[in-house]
Amino acid sequence: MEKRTGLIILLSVLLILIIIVATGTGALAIHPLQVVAILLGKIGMHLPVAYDETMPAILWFIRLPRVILAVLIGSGLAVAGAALQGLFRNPLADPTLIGVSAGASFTAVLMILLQASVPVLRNMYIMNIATFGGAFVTALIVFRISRTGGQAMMTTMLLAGVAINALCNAMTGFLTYNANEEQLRSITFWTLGSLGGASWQTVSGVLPFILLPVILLPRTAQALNVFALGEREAMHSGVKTAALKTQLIICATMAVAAGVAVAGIIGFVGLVVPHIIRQIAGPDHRILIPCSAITGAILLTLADLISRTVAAPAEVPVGIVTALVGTPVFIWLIIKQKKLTIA
Amino acid sequence: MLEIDQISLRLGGRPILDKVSMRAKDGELCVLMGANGAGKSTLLKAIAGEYAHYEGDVRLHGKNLRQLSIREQARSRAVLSQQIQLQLPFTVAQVVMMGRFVYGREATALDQSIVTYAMELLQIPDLQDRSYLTLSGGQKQRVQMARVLAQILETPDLEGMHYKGKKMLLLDEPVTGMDIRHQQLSLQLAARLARQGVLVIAVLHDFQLAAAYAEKVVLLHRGTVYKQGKSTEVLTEPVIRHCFQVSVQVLAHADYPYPLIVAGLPEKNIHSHNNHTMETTTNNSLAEQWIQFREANPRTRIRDAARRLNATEGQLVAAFTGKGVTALQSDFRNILPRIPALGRVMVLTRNESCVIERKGAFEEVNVENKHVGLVLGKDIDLRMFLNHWVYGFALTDDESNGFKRSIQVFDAQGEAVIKIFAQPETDIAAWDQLVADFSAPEQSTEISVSPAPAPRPNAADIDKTAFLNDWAALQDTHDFFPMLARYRAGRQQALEIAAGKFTRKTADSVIKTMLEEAAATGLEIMVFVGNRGNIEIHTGPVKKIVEIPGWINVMDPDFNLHLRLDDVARCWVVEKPSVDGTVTSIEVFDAQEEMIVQFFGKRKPGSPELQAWRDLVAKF
Repeated sequence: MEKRTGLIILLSVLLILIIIVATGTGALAIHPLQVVAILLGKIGMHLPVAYDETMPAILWFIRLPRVILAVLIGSGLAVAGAALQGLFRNPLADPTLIGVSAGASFTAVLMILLQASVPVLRNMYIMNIATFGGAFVTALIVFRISRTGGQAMMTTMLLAGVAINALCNAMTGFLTYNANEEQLRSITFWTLGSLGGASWQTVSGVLPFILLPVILLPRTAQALNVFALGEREAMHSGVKTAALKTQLIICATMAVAAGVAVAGIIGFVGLVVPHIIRQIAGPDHRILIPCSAITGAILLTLADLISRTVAAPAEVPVGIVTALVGTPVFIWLIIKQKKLTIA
Repeated sequence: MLEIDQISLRLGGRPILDKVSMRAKDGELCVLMGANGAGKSTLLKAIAGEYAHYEGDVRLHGKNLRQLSIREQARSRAVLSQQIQLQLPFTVAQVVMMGRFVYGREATALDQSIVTYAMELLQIPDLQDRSYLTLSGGQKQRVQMARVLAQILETPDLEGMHYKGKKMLLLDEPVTGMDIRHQQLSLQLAARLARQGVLVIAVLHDFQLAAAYAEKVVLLHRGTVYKQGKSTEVLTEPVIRHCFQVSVQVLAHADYPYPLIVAGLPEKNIHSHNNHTMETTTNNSLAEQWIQFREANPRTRIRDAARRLNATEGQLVAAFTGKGVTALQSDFRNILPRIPALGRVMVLTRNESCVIERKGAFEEVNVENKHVGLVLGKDIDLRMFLNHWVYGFALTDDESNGFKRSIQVFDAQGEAVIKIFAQPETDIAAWDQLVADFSAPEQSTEISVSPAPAPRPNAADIDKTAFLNDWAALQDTHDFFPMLARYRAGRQQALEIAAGKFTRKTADSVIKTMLEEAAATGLEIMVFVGNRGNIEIHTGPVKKIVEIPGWINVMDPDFNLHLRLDDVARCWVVEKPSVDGTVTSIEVFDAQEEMIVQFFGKRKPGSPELQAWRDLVAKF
């Protein structure tokens, strides 16, 4: 218990520091102290720190929404990864690997194409709900396919993910092929995964879809621990497995879909973050879920920071950054799992 | 108290459990046994509430399982499943703590002390901080046992509380993968829990563990309860052989209060009474020859195959003694009165040219008479010449040699006298008990067969006038055979003498015509088919007459007759006077003057035969 609270506090402090640093970094450098002063100034506390007249506007309307969006999407993806790994009872489950992101992505592209003729789809919430629907359906399909006799099989899960990914990508490709100039530009921009163009409007569009899972999922932690024994054993121990599974799929896909809808596919956060936490604090979901939420936020904020500074003034899509970091970790995980199976 | 009433369950369209009923009491260690695929685990899962779609009812402590929520069930029972696949590196203590899930979200001091106690009982406190993934199979099994124990216990003390009417523990092969010491410890623990009032149900494969620990054994066979009761009642040699297809020895030892069950004696001991190894080899090869022959000629009947293999049917059956075949004592006068208890059976009697099969109750057995035993039931009607009943065997179903569960009796020549086949309605437990009670002390794989005695020569000349006078004076058809014996007349010879007066030859086609007319008019007839040792009689209508080249058959649900028309050499219509009027029959003989089959109209002592029968026969 102590360990859990300690780790959560430590990570939270780290997150705040990184938010401050990230918000201050960019074409116009803002000193962390200035960042703190400007933010506190917003709520009426005035620190004796001098800052430029233009700084608050840049900070408030450009930097902060982007960082907050990274925080939200990062924690959403990480929590979704932890939940899916719990659901599949396997540390290799990840929204991108099992096709949930691709399903969301296909629906999102479809929405972008339809926006021209159906203006109501420009609404952020409707867009998010539609993407969520696509993600939910793919998650359900993969889960159903990979489950044999109440046990989710790892190989079947990954293969089903490959298949769903291929199918969704093909359909997305087909839509892209048929898109016009303007649609194509917004699809390409979107597919690469970017947090650019973030505004308070985007943040408020994403917020409920991420907040809900982040609040609800920790409540399933104890049941998820027992669920690790197996679906049947969990039921024997008093876990209402059907309700738990539904809750997990809904929460996980909701978080993933919201992220995909605004920022495209951002891979490996859901895989790597829970894994790092497990290495530090063990597999107990009561620690894993909250810590994953915070660490996911940290990681994506850092990744976004890299993406917009490493080749400034150009931006490297954030999905590329997470993939570059995530893939080696994923390979290392597979090798570890292999050794475990042999032993 | 666990009450299971008539539960049936299909999985993937296949019936797995078929009307299973059983009871288990609080404080009882009840063991489920059965061969692979018999339905043990499925039954256990049904009790654990894993299936929703079963028929019938399961009641735990008086409450219907369907009415109990998942949480209520988890508070009153724990389940230890086979092969738990935990892939996340939880520590041993965390895994054991999972057993307390249903009692609340946050672990209390009580939960903690129960977990510690459970780990101590299973001797795993040293492992408590180890990752579950690094444990050996047996250690994992013990951790899981500790977890379910933590789910059952209400205080950190096994003896501290009585759980009667409160808790049930289900164990699916709990000792698989454990070393012998931990097997014993685990079952001792289960027995201790039972003594505290916990209802324990365990699936076990080991007869010895079951015999030692079970208060009750429920033996499943093909989705049904084959037998349940005390281990001494259930774990008997014939029952085990039937359900597991292995031979075992059930031994008693003064130091053990339970039976010792040893699987299959080595081959040489089975034949230990057989001093001539050569003969054993020969006989083994006869068994093999039969299996090979059957593969090559699946449709050949055993009687004909035996001849092709230069053996008799009796020798062929004997060759499988110890491999699903049990030699019986030749105490047939004591065996026969036990057969009614088997319920519905099928009795087959045959001679060279005719087979009769009748299904039904085997009732009203009378073996008082020195010469002839009687079965006078409404279904099965037999005249048994028990001095020809020499070798008896009990056969079990066996794919390899094509044997079906039956009791078969052979005469001194190794020819089949009678075969009694089990039917789906037959009481198999009674059957096995009968076989167990009459199993011969020596189980030899061979029988000695003697050549058939030369037929008694017919008298060269017979006083025809006196013979016909005696014939005319017959009071009862039963007097006919003694009359023939008195004159030393062969049956065919007698019919020749009486030709024109009491008998007349008819065409062979009368058999077919008669059967078809009887079928068309619903006329009830009697059919007698016999061999040296037995005559079987069918009384009643015949319905479905099927002719195939060379054969005529009656194919009714409870009565079958197969008559080889090619062998029919002569047919007679015969009249015998009696106190109830003339009795008319059709008698059918082969070329060796042996009687193949006899037909009568239905009649009862005290009343004349049916006019419809007389009218029918008069046409021939």
